[in-house]
Order: sequence, then structure tokens, then C-alpha cells
Amino acid sequence: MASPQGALRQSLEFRLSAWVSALLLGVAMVAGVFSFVTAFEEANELQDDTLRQIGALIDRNHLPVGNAFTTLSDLASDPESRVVVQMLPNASGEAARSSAMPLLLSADLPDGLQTVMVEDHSWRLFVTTLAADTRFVVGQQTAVRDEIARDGALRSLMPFVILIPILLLVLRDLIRRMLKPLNRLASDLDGRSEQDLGTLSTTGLPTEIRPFVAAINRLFSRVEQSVSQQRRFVADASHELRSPLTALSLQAERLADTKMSSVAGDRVAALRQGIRRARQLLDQLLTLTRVQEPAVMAASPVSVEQVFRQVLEDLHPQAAAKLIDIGVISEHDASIILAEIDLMTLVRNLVDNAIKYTPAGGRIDLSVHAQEEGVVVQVSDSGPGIAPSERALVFEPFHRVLGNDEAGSGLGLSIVKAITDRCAASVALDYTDVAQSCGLRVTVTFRGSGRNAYTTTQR
Amino acid sequence: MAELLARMRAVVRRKGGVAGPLLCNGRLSLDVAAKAVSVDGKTVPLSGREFALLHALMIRPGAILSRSELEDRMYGWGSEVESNAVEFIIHSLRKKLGNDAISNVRGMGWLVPKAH
Repeated sequence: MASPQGALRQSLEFRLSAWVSALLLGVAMVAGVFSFVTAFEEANELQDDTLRQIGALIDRNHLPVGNAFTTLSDLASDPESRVVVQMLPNASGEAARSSAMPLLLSADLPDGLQTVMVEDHSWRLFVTTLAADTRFVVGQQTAVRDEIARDGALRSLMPFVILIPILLLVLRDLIRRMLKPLNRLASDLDGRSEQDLGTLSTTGLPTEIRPFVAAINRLFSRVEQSVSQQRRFVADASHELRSPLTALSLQAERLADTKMSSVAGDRVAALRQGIRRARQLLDQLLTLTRVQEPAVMAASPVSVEQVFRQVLEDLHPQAAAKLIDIGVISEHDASIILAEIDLMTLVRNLVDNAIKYTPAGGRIDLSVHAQEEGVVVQVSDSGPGIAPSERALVFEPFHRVLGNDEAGSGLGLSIVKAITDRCAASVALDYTDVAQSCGLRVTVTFRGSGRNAYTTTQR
Repeated sequence: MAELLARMRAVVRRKGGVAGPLLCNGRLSLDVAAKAVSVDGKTVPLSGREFALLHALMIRPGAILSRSELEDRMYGWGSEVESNAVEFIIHSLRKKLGNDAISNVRGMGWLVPKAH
């Protein structure tokens, strides 16, 4: 797998979001700059017009300006924003140095609009000629004008500033929604067990994805065919092998009944032991292929305790031969809705394993508990246990824990796993004695749908 | 032919409860009609309840019978059963027939181990 960062870079959702967001931000930026500049210039022109109109008013109405000056500062709350109307000193310069003049201006300013530096301030002035030697100037500080223009221009940016983040969020959500069927499909595929090769549903999927899903479904059906062919082959082969083995076993039995030396007798006994083991292996193989098929047996409530009893009756001789103290430690019975033969096979394999791997004089405990999440069946032994690193491997067919010379078929836990897979149960391995790291405890949880799936009865 | 016999025995066992006149298992034999039990041919005197309990277990050697099942079998012999009667009778049976005549499966019940 790629690193999380790489996976993110590969994600269609991420790429789409990133590109659309970048594009959107770029367009918004350009539009914002354009709108700012336009609004700024527009506001400046408007103020120029105002100055021009004030000048025109003075001109037309013959206001008694004389050599006096007027400031409109009384009307303005901010003295900075005042509009100054004053006479220009005439060319001879007689009225030029009046202390009442707010602005020191030279007489040779041309008519019209201009920007002039006066006493460290930049002013925007409109100069007009009233009579031959009477010239007026209407002025305003450019700093104030620019501030007004900037405010206006910034206000024109407000929609962008507010709407773009909202648009980005909506887009992200929209893309996520669009890609939801894909994510659902992925998690559906991810959550499947290896046995589940059923077809994927195409409902609710976009048409672009459907051919892909159809291809996966076709692949599934081909895989299922080949898997079932393989299973059928194993089942047929084991079945076919049983007949010659039975014949062999009968021959060996007849051989054992004849007179022979004790050495030959020992050899025949070993031979018969070998044949018995081969038959057990074939039986286990058949059981494994049977439980790997989808369930066909009718499920009905099965008393776990009855199953315990039957398994213990069958396996008690082996346990007694090794002086193993075997027993049931739970107080109550519980029922599981299942084909009885499956539960029987499962418990038998667990107890059989426990007896095999528990040293003589050991102890094996069986228990069943009805809990909120389902019925829990446990088989604990006092054997060597299985190290955590081995636990995932022992469910593989023919996997052996190293350093173990017990004669098992190597299929017991595979059969258990196949049964639990088939009936939506889970199986977990642990140490019986966690502190000492010894003993195997197998916990099988049959998830029932609430309390209806099982019943408890007092023993 | 042991295979065939084993299969036939299995069928009989599955049918269950077929009490012949003489139940044999290893060294033990139990005559239902005479209510007599012998070990290696030597008759062992048993009380009524002891015989009833052993009879129940001998019908199907290897089968586990729980306490309540054993108590049910002994009701047939009249008297009320006390709480630890089964343990008591098993104890005395083991004394008379040998310790390994009856095995216990913890939390499950008792059985007469099936002789090979």
C-alpha cells in the first residue's frame, strides 16, 4: 500500500476538491482585483465630479466670495475631510499672503483638475477662472479621497469574501456526496469474507462505475466456479480414496488374525495404526469440504449441553487414557440456532485438539454462556498453548505448530474456522493462563440477534 | 470383521436402552433378571439403589448420565432421594467394584467407561 499521503494524492475526491478549489480561488482573486480597481477609480472620478460641481456652483451663482475663503469644515465631522474653497492669489500677488488662506498656492496653476503637494499633504484641486483675474480653487486632501475610494472598493469585495468560503464548503460536500457510492462499494468489498463471492449490487451507482462493477461480478462468478470445482475435487478424491482404504484396513485386520511372530505382529499393529490415521485424515478432509460449502442443513435450536455430552461421551476414552480431568464448568445450558452436525463437528474438533495437546494429567474445561452479544462457547486446556504470533496461522489447513509431534490431521482448526465463517460466528484464541502464557483457550462467539437467538435453561 | 461388528454395535447403541438379560462390560457383568452383579465372575452383593444406579449406567456403557437422570432411575425403587444420595451410592459402588468402574465427567455426570 502507498503511504497515507500518497493515498491522499491518489484520491479522486481529494484531487477533484483541490483542483476545483484552486480554480475557484484563482478566478475569485482575479475578479476581486478587477472589481477593487474599478470601484476605486469610479469613486475617485465621482469625487472629482463633486469638486467640479462645487466650482461650477460658485461660478454660476456669483457667490460673494471676494477675497474671503470658505471651508466646508463646519459641516464635516472629520476636519480632515473638509472641502476647501479659496481664491487663488492673482498674478501680481497682492492677496497672496493672507493669513486667512488655508492653502499656500502658487498663482500659476492651470485651470482644471490637478494633484498638488501643499505643505507635505497631497491635495486634489479644481481651479476655475471666474473673471479675468479672479480665480478660484476647490480642493480636498487626496488622503481622505483615497480612503473613501478604498472603503468603497473594499465594500465591493465583500460578496467575494463571504461567498467564496461558502462555495468552497458546498463544493467539497457536493463532491463527497457524488463519490459516496464509490466509497460504499469499496467498504462493501472490503468487509466481505473470503467465502462471500456474491454479486455486487449496482443500484444507486453512477453509470460510469457500473461496467466496472459488472466486470468484478463476472470475475467473482468465475472465481466461485473454480473454487467450487476445487472443493468438489477434494471431496470426490477423499471419497474415492475411502473405498480402497477400507479394503486395505480389512486386509490388515485379516492379516492380524493370522499366526505370526511378535515382531511381525508389532509391524501389523503399526500398519493398522497408519491406516486408521489415513482414514481419519480423509474423514477430516471430507468434513472440511462439507463445512466450506454454503449451509444447506436446516438450522434449528441446538442445546449446547447436549452437544457437549455427546462429544464427551465419544472422546472420554481418549481423555481417560491420558488421565486428563475433563469437564463442563458452566452452570446453565444455552441453545444456538444451527445445524446440529456443525456444532457437533466444531466442539468435537476443539475437544479432540485439546486432548491431543494437553499433557497427561492435564485439565480441560468446556463452558457455554449466553451473553448479550450472543452465545459464547469456550474450550480451555492446560497444554502449551499457542503463541500470539502463531494464532493467525493455525487456522490454515495442515499448519503445524513447530516442536509439536502430536499426530493430528492438521485440519481441526481449519474445520472450526470454516464452520464459524459459515454461520457468522467468530473464533478467538488465547492463553488459558495469560500470566503464565500457557494453555489454549478457544472462544467461539455465536452472534445471535438479541435474546431471541438463544434461550437459557437452568440445569 | 471388527468393523462390521462395531457398526452393528453402533446401531444398537444409537437405538439405546435395549436391556438384555445380561449386560457385560469388561470385567463387569450385570444380570438384570437376577439383580446380580459380578466382577471377573465373582458375585458382588449390591443394595437395591446401588444396583439401580449401576443398571442405568450399564445399559449404555460410555454414555454420560447426569445427576437428575440417575435420580430419576432410582425413583423407580420407591424411596425419596436425598441431595447427595448419588455421590454416596457412587462412592460405595466404587469401593465394591474398583475405583475405575465408574468415571466422573465434571459438571456433566457419570459413566461406566466402555471396555475395549
